[in-house]
Amino acid sequence: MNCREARGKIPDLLNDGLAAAEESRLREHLLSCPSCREEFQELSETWARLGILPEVQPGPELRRNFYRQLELERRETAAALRPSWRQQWRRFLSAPVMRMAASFLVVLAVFASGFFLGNGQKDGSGQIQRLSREKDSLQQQFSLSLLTQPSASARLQGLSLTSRLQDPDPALLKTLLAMLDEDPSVNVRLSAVDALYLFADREEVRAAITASLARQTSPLVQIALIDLMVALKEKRAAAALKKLVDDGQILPEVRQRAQSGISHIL
Amino acid sequence: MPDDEQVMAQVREGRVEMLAVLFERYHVRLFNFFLRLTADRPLSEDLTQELFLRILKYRHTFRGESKFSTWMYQIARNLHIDQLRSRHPEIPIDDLFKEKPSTQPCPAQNAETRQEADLLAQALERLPLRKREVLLLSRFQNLKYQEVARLLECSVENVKTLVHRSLKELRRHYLDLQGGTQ
Repeated sequence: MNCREARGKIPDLLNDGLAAAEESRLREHLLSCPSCREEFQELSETWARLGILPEVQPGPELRRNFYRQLELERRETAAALRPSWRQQWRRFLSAPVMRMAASFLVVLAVFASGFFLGNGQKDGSGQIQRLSREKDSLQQQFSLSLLTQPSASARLQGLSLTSRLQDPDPALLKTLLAMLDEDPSVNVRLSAVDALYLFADREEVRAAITASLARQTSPLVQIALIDLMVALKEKRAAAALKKLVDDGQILPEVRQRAQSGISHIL
Repeated sequence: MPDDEQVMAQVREGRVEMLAVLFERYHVRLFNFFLRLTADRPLSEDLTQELFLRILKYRHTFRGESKFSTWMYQIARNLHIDQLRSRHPEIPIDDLFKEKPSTQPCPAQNAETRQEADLLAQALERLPLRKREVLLLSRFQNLKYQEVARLLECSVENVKTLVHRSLKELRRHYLDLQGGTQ
């Protein structure tokens, strides 16, 4: 490798990476060429130094405005776009978990057809309904099984799967709400807030989220819940927000957010 | 976890609330991208906000042919360019990408209090816009050179050359600023 080639490869080493053989050729060259070595050291030092630039947090208004706007858009879209049965069916079938379910159904169908033929039973509608119910609940069961795993990353995966559900059953919603209150991981509790946002059109979910605010101890989760209340314009949350404002132990950022939340809700 | 493209596909199909997932993944990073480009905090918040509104507005144009992040940064760049145009309508857009004198005060004026990160931020500000962009995208937004090349509409080799030159120039500015503090 000559100097020109070597210098051209230095940016790869910094960001994208090089194939092992090529990297070893480059390193060999750097060992033998003081000028390229110096060039590499300068560039890699500058690249690394950029890491000291702090990640600046935007102000709370950004998140609040976004969720307010999103809620407006959600309502408009929901009103304007009642998906056709064809779209719903396509969406339903495209979920990976439903592809698993489809395989499961093929197996069941083979058994079921054997059963009907074998028994000469004329009315198969009860069986078909049962199969359909099983198909519907499979996705929920899969999510539920992940949500109860000891690993936080599995629970996070379970939370993200719930976003595919159109109509979660009460047991699943109960688990989501319990996670919001009790999960030991702050990240999981934060993701539970996002997951529940998708089901916030249900009265029981709104009530439970509102009640959860008083039970939260992490400022991050408190802020996420306050933002959610504001996005949903949940008037009943005003009392819970007021309590936070009056709480002497609460972080100033949370108090400020709660205070401003009250003015947006009412 | 569903990947960005899967989430965006759901947004496109009408589940607009799923944009919250992408907002949580990207808004801080995007805010910092705009902040390093503009050095203006309120403006960067506005641009970040506007970016997500544009994603909603143009959601039907996301076809999943490129990565979501590439598509999103394309919108981010366009927004920034629109903003530059609106602030300096009389200046041809190419000139805005040329090197400009730093607006920062002379380092000697407040050398005592300046931290290393501040010096680096200033050095970054002194880079011409295109060089700053290439560093921000590859170093902070974790884009591969291939993606940066697609965004900047040039070859991967050009991007690498630009990274190389930008780092050298950044180092020069940084050392100049540091020299001024001693």
